[in-house]
Amino acid sequence: MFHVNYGWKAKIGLIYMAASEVMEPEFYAMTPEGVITLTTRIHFASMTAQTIRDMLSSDELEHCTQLLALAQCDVILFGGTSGSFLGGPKWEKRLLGRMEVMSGDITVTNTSQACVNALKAVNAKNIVFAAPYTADINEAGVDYFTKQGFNVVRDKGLGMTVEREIATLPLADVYRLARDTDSPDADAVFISCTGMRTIPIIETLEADLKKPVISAVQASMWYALKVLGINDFVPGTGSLFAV
Amino acid sequence: MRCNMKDRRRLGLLVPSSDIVMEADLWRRLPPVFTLQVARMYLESTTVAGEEKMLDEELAPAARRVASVHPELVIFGCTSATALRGLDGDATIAGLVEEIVGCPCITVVQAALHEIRRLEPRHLLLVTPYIEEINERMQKTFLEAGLPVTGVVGMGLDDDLDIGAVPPQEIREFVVAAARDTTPAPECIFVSCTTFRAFEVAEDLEQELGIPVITSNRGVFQAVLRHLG
Repeated sequence: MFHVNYGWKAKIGLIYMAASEVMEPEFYAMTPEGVITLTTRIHFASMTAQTIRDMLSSDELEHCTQLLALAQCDVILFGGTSGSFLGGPKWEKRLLGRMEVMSGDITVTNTSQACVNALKAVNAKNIVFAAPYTADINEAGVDYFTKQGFNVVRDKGLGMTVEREIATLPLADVYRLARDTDSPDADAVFISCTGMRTIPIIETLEADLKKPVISAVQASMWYALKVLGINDFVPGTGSLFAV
Repeated sequence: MRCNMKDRRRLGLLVPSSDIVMEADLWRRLPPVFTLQVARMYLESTTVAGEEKMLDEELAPAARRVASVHPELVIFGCTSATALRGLDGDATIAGLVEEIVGCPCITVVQAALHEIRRLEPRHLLLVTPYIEEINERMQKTFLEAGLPVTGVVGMGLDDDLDIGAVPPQEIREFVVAAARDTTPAPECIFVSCTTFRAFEVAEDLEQELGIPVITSNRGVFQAVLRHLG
């Protein structure tokens, strides 16, 4: 019999930006035995502050949550980093509240919440913020993580707005971005954006920089598993999972 | 790790909200170069009314979401909905999706018909998890396609989550019993429904019954490989 995993331990429900493509395959690559991800897409065409706000101003967030609740997912994750930090921590809480209205008993979370928890788990206080974003979105990201109690000692954004270009950015460029953003006084490097690939280079970055590297996709999976009480993980996805 | 996606190829997948099997079936079997980009459509119940509503209200928005990621192929992943309005209905769904997404669309029914026709069976048995009203539509569509349907056996389930919860061994036993109870003896069996865990017992069933067994997801899997080389 062909061995297929239908999520006998748990199902993760993922609300993902329509034009993005990276999180689904990276999630599948780092999904441990017994867990599956069910995905649905929310309208989102490009990476600007306005399109992020537009995405979240309609009732589509509620609709997407409902679709995944109907599939009886065990946790529902809104998989956007900027989409959950843009308006600050209070705004983020409101987004979670809107999801909770539709999710019933199912726990809801989002990527920014996952990243905050991941950075705390590796005892980071001083962090650097590396992202593909334009300056205004980077600024909002720095502001969010500052309000969440971190000291953001440096940030760097690539000024990109086209999802396809972000998704196909070579891993070598992501590696370089993280290295260039790192600072001697940072305890950890944070790589934002679930539309950009990171998983295959996290461990090599950690080896070279000698500090924890947390990425948005990685933290999202880690936190979803934590919420689910699942401690199994796929090796090679970073020191976060060994905490 | 299975993440080197430099030249990855994007497949769009449209599934009913409550489908908990198809993504896993395809992800685990497709070569790593393919990625699935999924959008869901609200489906209240696996009834004619539930599916009509899904097609009328949810199909177009879900197709637009998948269009944003520019896939090279879209799969419409619901068997009963594509069989609901006959071959015309199936072609309408595919046409609408192709127009919105701007790439070819494979429906489950098209994929299944292709596989079954290739085998040229004289007697085709349809086995489904569905209730009678859906089975009637299924049979009508397959007959319309010129296939020699000699029987339809359904489990009588009208809730997708119940369908997804049927253990594969139970599906296997149900299919074997249906095949043995049908005369003339089937030369091919199509096991319908994308959220039915039939793919994983298809090969066992073929060995046990000595005839080819096509399932919804197996047909789609083969269609994807054929279509994309």
